[in-house]
Amino acid sequence: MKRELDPFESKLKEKLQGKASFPEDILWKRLNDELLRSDQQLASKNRYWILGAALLVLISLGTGYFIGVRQETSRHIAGNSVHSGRKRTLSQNSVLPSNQGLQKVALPQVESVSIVESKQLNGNSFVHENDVNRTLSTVQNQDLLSTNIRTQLNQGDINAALPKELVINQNLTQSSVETQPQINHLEDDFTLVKLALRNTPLLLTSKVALATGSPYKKHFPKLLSASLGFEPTSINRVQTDRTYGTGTTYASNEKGLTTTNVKLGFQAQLGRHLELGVGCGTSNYSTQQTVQDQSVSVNQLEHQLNFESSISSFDIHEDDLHDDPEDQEDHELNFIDSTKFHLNYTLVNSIKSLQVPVTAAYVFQLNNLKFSIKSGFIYNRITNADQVLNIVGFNSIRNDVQAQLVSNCFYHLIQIGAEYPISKHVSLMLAPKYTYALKSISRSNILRPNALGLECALKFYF
Amino acid sequence: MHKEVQIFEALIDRCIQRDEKARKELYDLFSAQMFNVCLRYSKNRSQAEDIFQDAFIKVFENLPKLSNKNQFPGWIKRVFVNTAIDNIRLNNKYESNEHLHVIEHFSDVEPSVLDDIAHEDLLTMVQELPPRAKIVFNLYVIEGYSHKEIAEELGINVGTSKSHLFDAKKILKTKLLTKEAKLFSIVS
Repeated sequence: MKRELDPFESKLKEKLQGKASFPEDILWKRLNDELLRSDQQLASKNRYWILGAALLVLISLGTGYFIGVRQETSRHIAGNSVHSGRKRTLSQNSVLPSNQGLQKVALPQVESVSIVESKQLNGNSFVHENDVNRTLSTVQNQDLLSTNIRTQLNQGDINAALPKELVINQNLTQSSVETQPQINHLEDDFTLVKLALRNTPLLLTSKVALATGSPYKKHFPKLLSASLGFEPTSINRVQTDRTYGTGTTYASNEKGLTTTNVKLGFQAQLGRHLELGVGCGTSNYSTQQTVQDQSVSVNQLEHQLNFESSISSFDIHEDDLHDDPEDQEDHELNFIDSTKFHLNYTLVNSIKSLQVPVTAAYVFQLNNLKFSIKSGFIYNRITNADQVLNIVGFNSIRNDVQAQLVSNCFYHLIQIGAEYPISKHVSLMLAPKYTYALKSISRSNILRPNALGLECALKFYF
Repeated sequence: MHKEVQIFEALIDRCIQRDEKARKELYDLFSAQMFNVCLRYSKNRSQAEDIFQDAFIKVFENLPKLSNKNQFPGWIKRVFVNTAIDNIRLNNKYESNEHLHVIEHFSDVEPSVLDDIAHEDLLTMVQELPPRAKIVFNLYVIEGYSHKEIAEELGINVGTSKSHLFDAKKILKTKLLTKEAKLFSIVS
């Protein structure tokens, strides 16, 4: 609704806007100098961000490459060990004269390591490594194909027992004479098995790992997971452009309070290293400002006190100040003759929200631990925002400041996490995280809450 | 007209890219208007210059956040007004409110009393208003805010806003009548 000014107000407006005063030229020079200084600071700040991001990417890539190489090596070893076993199974059990010849001539040491049957392995004194025998026999016991082969071998039907794709060296099943390079290849394979088993005994002792081909799927076998998390502590700060207190962006006496938030999340792992997630949860930003002997301005006409806070300034009327019954001392504030009071008070700012995070994470596994580097956006809806003022000697006063804030906004999330499996389907996750508002949540000034917290979660793998 | 809009948007884009010349152009376009805003909210020229510089820095730093460049004129004014209000609040903590003996029959004052008053004198009178009354007066009379909007902006209730405006007008009328009386005595 368009309001009307009275004649006096209209005349005042017309008169005040009728003539322009120009700023002095030196103001531009001062402003430009300040802007250039600000540009330089921003540039240096950006450099740090770029360096930090580059470092993070390098670490991620390096770790990913390292993990990838290890996985490839392990898979190669696992594959080789199975194939080698089968090849040697053929060699050992073959009734064909040519294979007997091969054993005697070409593989004097290898043939002494009987890899075919468990009985033979256990009783063989020439086996170099006990874990080699155990692992390889385990492979054969667990591997269905290997079992089939063994059964059929017992029936003496070698050719039928060996599908072509399972035999690396087809010549082994044939009656042709083995060549020296092929024999060398077999020796190399077995040497590789022994070497790998010595270096990574833990990886290959897992039946599941060998059966599935990946040693890292021991405890994280499925792709979908749900998590229930608690955030028992966080350091909350409210960044603001309001100049108060020390004149900085933060009041020096405003501290973040410990809060407890609850998070529920659903994750889906796509591929080996990408995990997408969505969830919902609560967020409670809470800061406390405790001041002693603070000068508070007085509005004598209105009998009001004016307080400054990071969220907004606010007035407290004299009528709202009631003596604290628990305080024995009688407090009287003289609003008539004073322009300011010196007060001891505590101001608690609290912003409660519901959050919906959408995240993407780079995940990798080291031994039994799964690590993640996560980033994403959080839709944030403010459900409650208030300030509670406790002036010494008076009852506390609560101000609802939600109307001054933007109800719907977005935050950015950066999180790193580590998971430890505590059962077949459940893992425990610890994940430090940092969130900050992408835009000001205040309607009138710049106000960006940010928090550093530690999320503890139980994660269930379906 | 459309071309002018495009030129203006290009100017804003150059400012976002930290082009010094573009910044100067934008400054030249708005400096006079915004300096007058600062003068009305401050108590003297020195304070106005401080507000002016702070506000312009905010404007240039927050330009990338401006989603609709066509809204720039309204946006820049809002930044200046908010900066001025914050500055007044900060300085208001450490100074006492002015005690002024005001007349009680001010409703009889005719608008014609403003005819002979110089712009500078009127500006000085506005600058000398008590801080909160000055903010409410400027927001209501010059910027066109309603009392409800002022109450939300300042975190006060509507009644308080009306009361401040009432006080501001009362003080201004008193000063205007005093000034007129002095002029009359000099002339006669």
